Amino acid sequence: MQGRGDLDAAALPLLRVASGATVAYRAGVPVSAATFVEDVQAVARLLPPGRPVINLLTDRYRFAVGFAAALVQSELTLMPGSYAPGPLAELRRTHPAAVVLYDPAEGIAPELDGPAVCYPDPTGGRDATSATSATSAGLLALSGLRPELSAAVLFTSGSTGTPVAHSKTWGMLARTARQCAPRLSIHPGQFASLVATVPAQHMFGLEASVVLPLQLGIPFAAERPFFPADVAAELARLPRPRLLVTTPVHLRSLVADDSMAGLADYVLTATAMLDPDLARRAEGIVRAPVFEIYGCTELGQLAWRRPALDDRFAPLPTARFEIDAGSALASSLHGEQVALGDVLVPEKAGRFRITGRHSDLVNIGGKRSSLAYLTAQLLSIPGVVDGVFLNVTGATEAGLAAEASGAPARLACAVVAPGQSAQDIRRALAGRIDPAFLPRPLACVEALPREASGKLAWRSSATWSEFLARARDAVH
Amino acid sequence: MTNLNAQAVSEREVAELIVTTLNLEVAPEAIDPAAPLFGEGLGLDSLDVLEIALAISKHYGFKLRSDDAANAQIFSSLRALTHHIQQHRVR
Repeated sequence: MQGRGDLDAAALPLLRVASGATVAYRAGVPVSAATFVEDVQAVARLLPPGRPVINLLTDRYRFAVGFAAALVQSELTLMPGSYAPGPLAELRRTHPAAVVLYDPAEGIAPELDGPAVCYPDPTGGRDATSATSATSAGLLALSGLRPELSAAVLFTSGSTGTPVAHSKTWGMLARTARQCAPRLSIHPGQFASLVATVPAQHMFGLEASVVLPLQLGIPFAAERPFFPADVAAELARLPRPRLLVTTPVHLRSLVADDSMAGLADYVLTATAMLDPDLARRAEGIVRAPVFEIYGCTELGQLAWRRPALDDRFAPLPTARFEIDAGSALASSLHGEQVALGDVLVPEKAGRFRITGRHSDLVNIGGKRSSLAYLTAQLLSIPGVVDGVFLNVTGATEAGLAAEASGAPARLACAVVAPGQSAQDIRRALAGRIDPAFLPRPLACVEALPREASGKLAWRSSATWSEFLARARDAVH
Repeated sequence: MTNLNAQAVSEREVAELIVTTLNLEVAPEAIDPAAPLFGEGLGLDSLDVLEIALAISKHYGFKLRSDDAANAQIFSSLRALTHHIQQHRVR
């Protein structure tokens, strides 16, 4: 594994294809590298100097253009853990110099009380000669990115409620993608297209649906299809072999719908544990290998497995693990000795199994947080006197039913907020946390059962469930 | 071909489908047909929409698409969703 001490001076290209090659597909139509470079230059010209970029673009191609434009200007891209209005406003407050890059056509209208840049409409009729020289200059810029350039800052929710920043250099991102791809059985020139259901702005989406395709020369679809029928349609109109990047939650939906049969040639998933039975069913229906990546925002991708065949994970070439009595430290090109939130059990030859998460941490539909962070958000709501987020899924009928069907189970919440309804509190929470963590139920109670020390009196999920069921007002 | 539209899909039936599919602890008849399903009102999110799309496909035999005309409207209320199912059901 390369240590940070031996970063060499050699520049790392963003794009590794000839200018006539296809970089992406938009609405099924190929976009050439030359066009990509022109678009990058057009956006780079609009970015005010000295300002990090908050890239809100949901079109994956345009996101990549914006990301590259920032890099070309030696600026980094800020990616908050959540795009709920609260966290986004908080990000603008802590980074007042940041400029928001957005596209009004996407229907996202950020509060424009700060610097903002609209993604430009493509301009037709460019002068051919200036376009050629501009493209050459642009290709040169994108072929010469310094590895130590700060490329992105991603945020995770700390336990106190204040987001924690994780800085990624271009070298960390590019080298990880290039060095890990062979272990994932992904080789340059192997795939003719890539479709992803994940957002570009999260760690997995950035690594697997932006950096990986750019580094391996895989043309990627700009769209982010959602419904199974849409995913199938997007795959069907692109050339084979096709790589699908998705999450276990989404894969479950895709496999249950019969339109996915034989449409992808490789499936890459991450963000939550993929059940080996689901992996086997998926491989049978899609008729493609399903690979799973284990990683985290702090360190990027760390390990892989093909759960249909073997439920053990193996470290990726850029990662190192130290597992000791249920607690694990990991290192990667992104950082050293980070404590992982999961319980890892070592197996032979450096492999390991993941048996669950440490109790404060939660993962709902691929989104990660901690009960401590969510409780801190709850307590920051004006009028809330006391409150707690709870993970009681093993004890409620709804939770057990959800687990059995494979659907994501939700957290519960008890809150003391005199004069406010459960709906009021829920609305306030919705402005602060990702919808995946909104509790079911959210129960308003007179008081929480606390010991003299202030600690919550109960640990049993069953006791909590009964307590919540007796609340004065609840939303589900 | 049987005119399935003659058998009206009731809001109650769709409410039951939502409650059962999502394991919600709320009575189907308690869902206000005009209230939003997303965010406010019932407070569903995109994870729920995936589950509901699957249930609709299995139960009514058609698939939700993002580019259906006025798709944003389909989940704007129980009433809107019921109407959409009524228009597109195959079984």
